[in-house]
Amino acid sequence: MSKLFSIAIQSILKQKLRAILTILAVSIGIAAVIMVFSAGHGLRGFISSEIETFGTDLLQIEIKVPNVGKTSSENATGIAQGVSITTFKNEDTDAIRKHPNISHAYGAVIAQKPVSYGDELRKNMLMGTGFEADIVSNFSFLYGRFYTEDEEKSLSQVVVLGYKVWKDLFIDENPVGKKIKIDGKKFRIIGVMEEKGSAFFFDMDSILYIPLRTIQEKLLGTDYISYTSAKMIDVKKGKQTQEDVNIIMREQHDITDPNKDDFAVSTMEEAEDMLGTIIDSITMLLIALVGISLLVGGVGIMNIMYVSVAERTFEIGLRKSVGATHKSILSQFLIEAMLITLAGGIVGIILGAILSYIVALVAAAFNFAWEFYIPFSSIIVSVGFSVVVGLLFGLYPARQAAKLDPIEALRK
Amino acid sequence: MNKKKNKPIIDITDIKKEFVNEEVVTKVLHGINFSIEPGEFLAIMGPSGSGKSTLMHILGFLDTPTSGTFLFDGVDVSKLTDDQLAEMRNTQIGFVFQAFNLLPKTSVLDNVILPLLYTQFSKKERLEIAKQAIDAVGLTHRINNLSNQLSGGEKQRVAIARALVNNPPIIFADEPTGNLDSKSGLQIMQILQDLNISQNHTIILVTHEKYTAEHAERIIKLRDGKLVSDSPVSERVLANNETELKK
Ligand SMILES: Nc1ncnc2c1ncn2[C@@H]1O[C@H](COP(=O)(O)OP(=O)(O)OP(=O)(O)O)[C@@H](O)[C@H]1O
Ligand SMILES: [Mg+2]
Repeated sequence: MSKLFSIAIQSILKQKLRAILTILAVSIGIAAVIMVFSAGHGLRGFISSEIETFGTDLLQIEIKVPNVGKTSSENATGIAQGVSITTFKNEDTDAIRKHPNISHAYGAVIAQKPVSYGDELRKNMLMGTGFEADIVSNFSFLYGRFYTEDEEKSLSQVVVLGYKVWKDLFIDENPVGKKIKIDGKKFRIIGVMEEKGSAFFFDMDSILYIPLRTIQEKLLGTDYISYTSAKMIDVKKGKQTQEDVNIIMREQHDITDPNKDDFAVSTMEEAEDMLGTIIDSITMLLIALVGISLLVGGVGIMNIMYVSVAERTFEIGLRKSVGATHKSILSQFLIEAMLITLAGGIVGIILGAILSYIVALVAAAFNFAWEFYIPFSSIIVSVGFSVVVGLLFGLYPARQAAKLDPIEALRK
Repeated sequence: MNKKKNKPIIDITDIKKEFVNEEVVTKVLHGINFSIEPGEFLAIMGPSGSGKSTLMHILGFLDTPTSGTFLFDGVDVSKLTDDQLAEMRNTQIGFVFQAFNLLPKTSVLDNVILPLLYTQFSKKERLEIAKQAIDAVGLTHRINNLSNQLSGGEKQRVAIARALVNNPPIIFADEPTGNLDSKSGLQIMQILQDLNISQNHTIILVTHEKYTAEHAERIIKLRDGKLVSDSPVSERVLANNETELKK
């Protein structure tokens, strides 16, 4: 056996270029698989952590185009035609807040208005929120505080700056007490948020927060909101609470037929489930891509192995003519193919790990919560595949050649 | 030269061989009969294309006849299994190919050691035996050269060393002196004759030259795939004496 080993190693060394090409083909396929698996894992972790920044104890109530005709296409047409829902009101938030499992809730609208400070003029995202937003969404502050219930009720012109807005306008200065103009009206700065990063690629630091009633009455001239976020006391009662809120909202909106709902209630858990399915389908797609790259790599391995054995029919004939048995020829080629796929496997795993690590580093540089991890299954799948292909196409032609009369093999 | 009549080691009856390449049938051997006794030194002569190499390949277990029987030491070769044939090629036979058939890009040593890889010898023994065989053909100074760096004559001698290395009782040599000058050719004939006379090995030699053939005890002539004559050598040339003379 050790003799066959040294024969195999000698023959590999005699065909260095071919061996290197095969190792390369094997390792690229393996590295691709490992990278895709690892990236899939990182993506999943990243999305779960994004959801956690919102909190899993949240209930989200949003406007929705009623599904009048029960078909989703009509629904989509409704959205496309710009039907805007104006039925969601502040009173709805108050009604939801009264539910025994809801501790805090706030309604919100989003707007875009010019913001100016001194000579600086810019268009910024404004968010009008109820006074409990800081508790529901876990805001923390660099300077100052969030607005109070009284400030909201009295339509105070106060504003809380997002981290980037503050950085851009004030650099390092404490701005509390200073005034900025929003849509031409003076607002007093009462707080600055800590840096939050982005969530779902939405930059949370470039927003200005204004009391909901203030934005509705003084800037927009409307009385509706686009969503309400509510914090639950007991997360385990999430399903029941969600049902209750559905009923509360229908009472508020005088709806009897659930098909005519102009709102939708969702829990973060549901969102997580949905994202899970999205990630699963992305993973499936990636696996399909990997399948294709493995196929291409496999054809490469197959080709090199096949050509190499075909070219070595003479050698097989000669070995047989001096007394090599069928078995010793096959063992030699088996060991050769195994050593090559093994080398390719090791190189591929290292390469895949390095690439996955780079992906993780890049993700970290973009402030994504990304865990570097190599699933063991990816190694099994990729190495297993390469070994099977390598052995199949290394051994099959060798077997054909070993079956010939020595002189026939020698003539080739 | 009166050898005892022994049971033949090789006994062929009505051996025919035809090659089929894409429907084209080439009939090469048309029914050959003869036998060889252990310890005999036989020369096969005949014009180019008469089927000498084809016959040698069949006798050396490297090819199968289309029809006819081949008894080796009384055993029907067509009944042997693959593994038994491999064993025969390894232990019973040394074959010097007309086209040398050396492994390319492989050293002289690795070429000569090849048949030993399929024996039970230890690594050290293999090396020792291979070195002796290389020495016997006078190539010790080329031991690490690659086969493609050798001259035609040197290649031929490597092929001979490889055929001798397993010390097989039967040696087939297909024009072993064809590429050699007369001095090197003489060395080879000396080796073969020595194996035959003092070690009682059976030698089957193909040659074009009448003079080389007369180193054997018996000459068989082929023409167009038929055996046309089979006669003993009346005055055998002894390679040892020649060298004495030339010195
Ligand atoms: N594989 C093959 N397919 C077809 N014809 C073949 C094959 N091998 C040999 N032949 C033919 O068989 C005939 C005999 O060939 P062989 O090699 O036995 O001749 P030879 O007597 O050894 O000649 P030389 O003295 O030139 O070596 C030749 O005509 C050759 O063309
Ligand atoms: Mg010939």
